[in-house]
This record gives sequence, C-alpha cells and structure tokens, in this order.
Amino acid sequence: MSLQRGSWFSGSGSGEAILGYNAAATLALNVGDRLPVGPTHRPVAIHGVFDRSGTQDDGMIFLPLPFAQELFDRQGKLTGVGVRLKSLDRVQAFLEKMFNLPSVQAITMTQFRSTVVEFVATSRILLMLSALVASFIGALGVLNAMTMSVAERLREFGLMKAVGASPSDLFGLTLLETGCLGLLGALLGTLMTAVGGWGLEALLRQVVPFVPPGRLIVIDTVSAVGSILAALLLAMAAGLYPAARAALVRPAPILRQVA
Amino acid sequence: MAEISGLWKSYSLSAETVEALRSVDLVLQPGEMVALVGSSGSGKTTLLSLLGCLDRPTRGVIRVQGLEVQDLRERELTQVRRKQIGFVFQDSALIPTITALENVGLPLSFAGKSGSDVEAPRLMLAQVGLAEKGTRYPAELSGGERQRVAIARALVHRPSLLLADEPTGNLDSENGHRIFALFRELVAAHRLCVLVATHNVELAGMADRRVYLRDGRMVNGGSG
Ligand SMILES: Nc1ncnc2c1ncn2[C@@H]1O[C@H](COP(=O)(O)OP(=O)(O)O)[C@@H](O)[C@H]1O
Ligand SMILES: [Mg+2]
Repeated sequence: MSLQRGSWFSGSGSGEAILGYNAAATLALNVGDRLPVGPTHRPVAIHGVFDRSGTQDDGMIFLPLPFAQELFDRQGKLTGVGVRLKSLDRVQAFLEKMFNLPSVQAITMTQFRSTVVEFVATSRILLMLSALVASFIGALGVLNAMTMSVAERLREFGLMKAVGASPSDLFGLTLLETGCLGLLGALLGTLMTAVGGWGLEALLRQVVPFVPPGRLIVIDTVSAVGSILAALLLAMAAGLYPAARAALVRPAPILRQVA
Repeated sequence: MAEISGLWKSYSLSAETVEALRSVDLVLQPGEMVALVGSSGSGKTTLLSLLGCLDRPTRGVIRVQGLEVQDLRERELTQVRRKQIGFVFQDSALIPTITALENVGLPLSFAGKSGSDVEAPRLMLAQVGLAEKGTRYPAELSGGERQRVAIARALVHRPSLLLADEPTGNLDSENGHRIFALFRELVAAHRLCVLVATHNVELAGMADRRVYLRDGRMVNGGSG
C-alpha cells in the first residue's frame, strides 16, 4: 500500500496513526489532525493517509504494533494477524497448514464476512422479537388497566345510561380514555427512547475503544410518528373489550345497589 | 302520561323463578304526584325500572306518552330515556369526579344539546335552591343537597315522567320533607308526572294519590 498523503510513522511511531482512504474520508480527518482511540481515548496524531486499495483496509486505522499493544494494554501479545496471499488457489493449503499450529485459529475473509452478516441478521430478528413481546405486554397492560377501571365504574356507567347515555356513548367514552392512555404511553416511550438512546451512546463512547464520531442512534420523525400511531392503534385494539363491557352494562341493577 | 297494564316481571335464578311483579296496572296523569307504597321486596324498584325503560318486562304493556316501549330496541329505549324519563335514586348517585352543575348537565350532554343549552342546568339548580353550589363536588355537599342536585339532573331535560326510588331513604325527616315539598312544586311548575316509591307513610301522604304494592301485586287504587 502506498501513501496518498502525509508520511510513514516516524521512528517508534508512538502516538501516531495512518488512516485508510475511506476512514479518513468518513471521519473527515486529515494529516495533522488528532483522533482519540483506545480504551483511554488517547488522542493520536494522523501522520498519513493511504491510497485507495479497494479492500477492507480502506476503512481501517493503522497504528504501529508496539504502540497499539501499549494502548490496549496487551504488551507482547497479538489477537489476530491478517494475512494476504498472493495467489487465491493456495488458500486451502494455507488453512490446513495453520490448522496444525496449536492456539491458532485460521478463518478466511469469506467465512468472517458471512459470520458478521449472520450475526447482524440474528440480532435483527432478536430485536424484532423483543419489540413484539414488549408490544404484546404493553397491550395486555392496557387491557388489564382498562378492564379494571371499567369494572370499578360499572355502577357509574349504569347511572349514565339511566340519565340518557347510549351504548355507543359509553363505548366511545371508554375508548377515548384508552386512546388517551395509549397516546400518553406512546409519547412517554418515545421520550424514553430518545433519552435512553442518548445515554446508551454516551455509555458506548465510554467503554468501546473506538466509536466513529457523529450520532450513532438517530430518531427520525417518520419512525417516531409511525411507532406512536402503532402504539395508539394497539391500545385501541386492547381497549375494545373494556369499551364493550362499558357499553353493554345493564342500567337496572344500579337501582338496587346502595353506595 | 304513562300507563302500564298486565305487567309481569320474573327474575330467573338458578334454582327458582322470582315473580317480582304479577299483573300490575297503573295509569299516571300529567301534573299528578303518586306515591308507590310497599314494604321492602314488594316490587317497587322493579316497577320503576320497567317504567323508566331501564329493564324489560316479562309480559304486559308499558306506554310512555302514548308510545309502547316494552318491545323497543336498545337505541329507541335510549331515546325514550333521553326525552321522557327522569330518574332519582335512593342514594343520589352523582358522579363524584365532576361538579354539581356538570352532574346536572349530564342528560343534556348525552342528548347532544349541551352546547345549545348551557343555561338549563343553572336554572334547574336554582329551582332546587342550590344556585350557589354549582361548582361544588358531590363530596362537598350534604346528603339533602346531593339529592336535590340529583332531582335537578332528573329534570334538566324536561322529561314528562319523574321516577324516584325511595329518594328520602338516606335522609332525616326534615330533609325528606323538603324533597317531597320540592316534588310538589315541580309537579305544579312543569305539569310533570311523578311516581315516587317510599315506605314512609307520612311522606306518602303528601302525594295526590297512593298506590300499594304487596308481593308484586297492586293492592288497591291502581288505575284510579
Ligand atoms: N335481579 C334480580 N334477580 C333476582 N331477583 C330479584 C332481582 N331484583 C329483584 N329481585 C326480587 O324481586 C322482588 C322485588 O324486588 P324490588 O323490586 O327490589 O322490591 P322493592 O324495591 O320494593 O324492595 C324481591 O323479591 C327481590 O328479591
Ligand atoms: Mg327498592
């Protein structure tokens, strides 16, 4: 790889980094800028930027090995070694050779990539499932709260019928109440997502060695409004049963109960 | 005017059937206050709930202002309740979370005319002597005052028939007297028909006429 601009590490190279072409572009950094890296977020000086290579290397940040080992507190140790073969048809032979080395695990880039892709897919499914379970629990909560609240006020609803309320009046009234409850919950949930996402981002920046700058979690208006509407709809669906109970209350028995 | 004839009401329980009313006949004229007298369990509440379209009879005919109501559908019954019936219960049965004035306005808001008629609840409250207490909540009123708010609520939509089920049951005799005196006034003022259930013989004496129920049967004076 050749440098596009800047220069190679000076001497020991401590406190210096060279960026891949894309890394420099996405981070908007140039030679002479500083970039915090590692668990301690120590600023390192950008010494150079590599030419575009068309490989993963373009997105990487390169540090001199001793400096990187010191930065991550792994003096004299290696986690992984990237090996590029000149000829692809020797991959299999190379893998077999590596297999014989104890404490070395060799994986090809293709394997690595498919593992990452699978991981992302699995986490997405997991995320969807937890969202689904959370929605279900939320709907059950609304159902429970409204059923209880209606049951407590059956007498009140009977009385309203006696003074002229129709079943649809009571149905609408109860559903309106459920809607307010759902809207309140949805707004609160959105607020908590915003605050929680912001907190999570701050936490990530603390504990992860390198996090790209800019917002990691962005709440866009379309999905926020969409999820508020969905929550409202779900709450209304859960409110149908309690609303029906309120609507079908029989007014006669309220005459007999003495409060 | 309200009229019932041959009215039966049975309640089916798991083991037996209770005959709460057995062939009751009664005619109520406009501008007339009638006391419905009977001991506990004689069928007073049942009769009032049928006449008030809160329940359906097993057999018999109920006419309210000439309209037969016993076979009407639910929404039509709602309309009859909204237009013709005012109900007063033994305990005032006000909604605790809204003010006296708002309680009085309830029938109008259900009938969908709250907007056009904001003055009616105020006038009605004044008529029962509570002009100053409209902003109070039910808990901030005495038992007698609550019952008068309930009467205002029962009359705010100008019904032709006021039904009261032991409205003085929870009141002392002085307040009971005032409630019955108020009924007398309202009957005269609105040409109302009032049917009030009581087992207080003295209060029943303030009515134009008394009818007696025993074990679900009218004992005398039913249609007179
Ligand atoms: N929902 C009901 N189910 C069964 N029996 C009832 C019901 N309501 C009233 N009854 C019975 O009907 C009879 C008349 O009751 P009610 O009309 O409440 O009398 P009152 O108001 O004069 O005390 C009583 O024997 C009572 O037990
Ligand atoms: Mg009774």
